[in-house]
Amino acid sequence: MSTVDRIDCERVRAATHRRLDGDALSAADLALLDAHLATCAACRTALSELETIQQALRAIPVPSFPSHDLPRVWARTSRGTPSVRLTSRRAVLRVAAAVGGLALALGGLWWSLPSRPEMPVASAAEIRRAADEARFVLGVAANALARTERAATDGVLVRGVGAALDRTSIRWSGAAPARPVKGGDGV
Amino acid sequence: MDPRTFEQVVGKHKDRVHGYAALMLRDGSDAQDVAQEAFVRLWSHRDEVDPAIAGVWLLRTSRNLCIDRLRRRTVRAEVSDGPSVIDGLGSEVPDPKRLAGSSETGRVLLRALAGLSEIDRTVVVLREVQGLAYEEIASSLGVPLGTLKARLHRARERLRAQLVRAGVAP
Repeated sequence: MSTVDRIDCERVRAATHRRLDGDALSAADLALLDAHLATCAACRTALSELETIQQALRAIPVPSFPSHDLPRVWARTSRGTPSVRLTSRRAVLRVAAAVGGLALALGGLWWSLPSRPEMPVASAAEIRRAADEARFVLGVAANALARTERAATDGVLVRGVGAALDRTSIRWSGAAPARPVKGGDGV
Repeated sequence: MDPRTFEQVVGKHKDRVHGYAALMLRDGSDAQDVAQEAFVRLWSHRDEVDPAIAGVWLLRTSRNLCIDRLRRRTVRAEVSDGPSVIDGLGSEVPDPKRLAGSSETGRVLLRALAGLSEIDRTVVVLREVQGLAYEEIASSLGVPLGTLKARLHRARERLRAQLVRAGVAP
């Protein structure tokens, strides 16, 4: 096969694929295709085989999604147990942090005001006691916030995802992920 | 995306997602798992995904899930002769006019398809078997249209070469 023939074969092969793609070939490409296929048995065979394979692939029946699986999808999504979303919890924490920061800033501003009402002068011991009480109150608030988040997380994992998983028949092909235990300490 | 829109999106794309996973994984149970997981992930990201491109998003997610599962399999399991959706399908492609041969040839064709690389198989399945538009496939794969077509041309030639090697060239 000469170099010119090889180049023609490559051009014809490219045109063949464009035809399989459903692209319209130019008049020049069509003329080249016809002339080349009339003399090149290899390209003729290749075109025939590629067309046959394409038709066979199109004839493969594609299995449909089992209709009995749809309720499981809805149970895990749009019709499942309402859950506290991670983004929502983060939003709550961000708001809480912002409120706390604002309160501290306002308190500092109030203390820095030159014309604030006359306050009795506190001793160092009183200031330390007040600071301890403030730390205690902040600790209680932080614990309450942590408990709230933990309860929300438990609610999602145990009553939400856990319940949904119990209703499914998913087969884990790898190592089974850790499942939350009801009544446990949560996550 | 509200629940009603979500369910409409799932209803519209469920067969395509499941069919793709079944052809990629050759396992009906795995395909159902992948499709379900893709829908659950779409629900989790419903606020970020535009319903107009949810089909592309689902295909991309399904492909990633399929890749994860394929990676976990050994090469031996990949070409095993165990019962599978695709082996069952093979016997349903007996059209002698379309593929010169018997149902055995259909099975060989499907096996040759499974022997392609993941990306080659993906473009052949999405375009030639499922008939998706080129633009949609290109968006799902995140590649330009020309790249997709070049990939498809190479995949067709590789599939043909495999069939010739197997002695069942049509």
